[in-house]
Amino acid sequence: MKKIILIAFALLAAVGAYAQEGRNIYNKYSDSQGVSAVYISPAMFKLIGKIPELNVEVAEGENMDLAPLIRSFSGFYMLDMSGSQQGSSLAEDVKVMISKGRYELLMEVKDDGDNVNIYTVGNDKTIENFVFLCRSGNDVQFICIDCTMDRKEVETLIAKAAASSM
Amino acid sequence: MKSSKDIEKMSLEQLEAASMDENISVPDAFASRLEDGLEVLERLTEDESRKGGRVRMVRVLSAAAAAALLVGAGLGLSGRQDEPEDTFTDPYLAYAELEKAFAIMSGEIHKGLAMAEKTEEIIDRTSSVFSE
Repeated sequence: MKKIILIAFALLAAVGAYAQEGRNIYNKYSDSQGVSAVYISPAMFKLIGKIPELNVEVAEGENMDLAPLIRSFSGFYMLDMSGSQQGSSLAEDVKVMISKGRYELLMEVKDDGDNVNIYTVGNDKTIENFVFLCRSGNDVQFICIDCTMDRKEVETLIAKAAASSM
Repeated sequence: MKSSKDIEKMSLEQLEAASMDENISVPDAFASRLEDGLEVLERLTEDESRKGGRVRMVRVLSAAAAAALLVGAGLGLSGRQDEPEDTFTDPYLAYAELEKAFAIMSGEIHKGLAMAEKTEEIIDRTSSVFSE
């Protein structure tokens, strides 16, 4: 009996863990000076999903309906620290969050002092959490998305966008 | 014929002697009736133990479900307490902000892919030099 209760607790805790980490970081820095913060709740995502036309041009002459992708979002946290002294502290907190979780590095770009890291958590089929961290001197941008995105859909989107840029 | 009360009053020796007495005839189909009775008794015992198992399983499952509900409610409540306030009340504005964020991310992804493309070109050139 105790085992079943412990397993149930562990499962529920694991589901909420990723959402909690991004939120904790957002709550820590969102009210700081020189920080632009944006939070979009699951309820708002439901409303956005009802907007009739969410088509974006992903390649020349090719539009893609983003509604299904956006409906899979359940939380969006963005912190933009331009010239804020707290930038390095935020980057450190994100590093700790990444090292604690099952995050996988999707992409890293280092260019002339700029440093971009994109991480995801999930399995072969779905992405449950998406983290974007961009550092350029004291400027830091942090984006964290809680979701249940179809991995194939995201890969197709990135591939199309990449093809259109080359 | 002796009644069951008379049989109960008999001693072990008397019962043994009666069982050895060949003059006492066994009623017809007594053996099959006895077997049927034993079978029914066996089935009843099995049903009882199955019912007991089911009851135990239901109890365990309902306790697990209750625990999961409590934990879920607890996590939900703690999650709601520190849930930030929505930045936008208008879904169109929220979507516009999302588009901006996508543009930032896509710009960085393009930068990375362009760098990878350049590297690929260099590798291609180098390998063509070696192959010549």
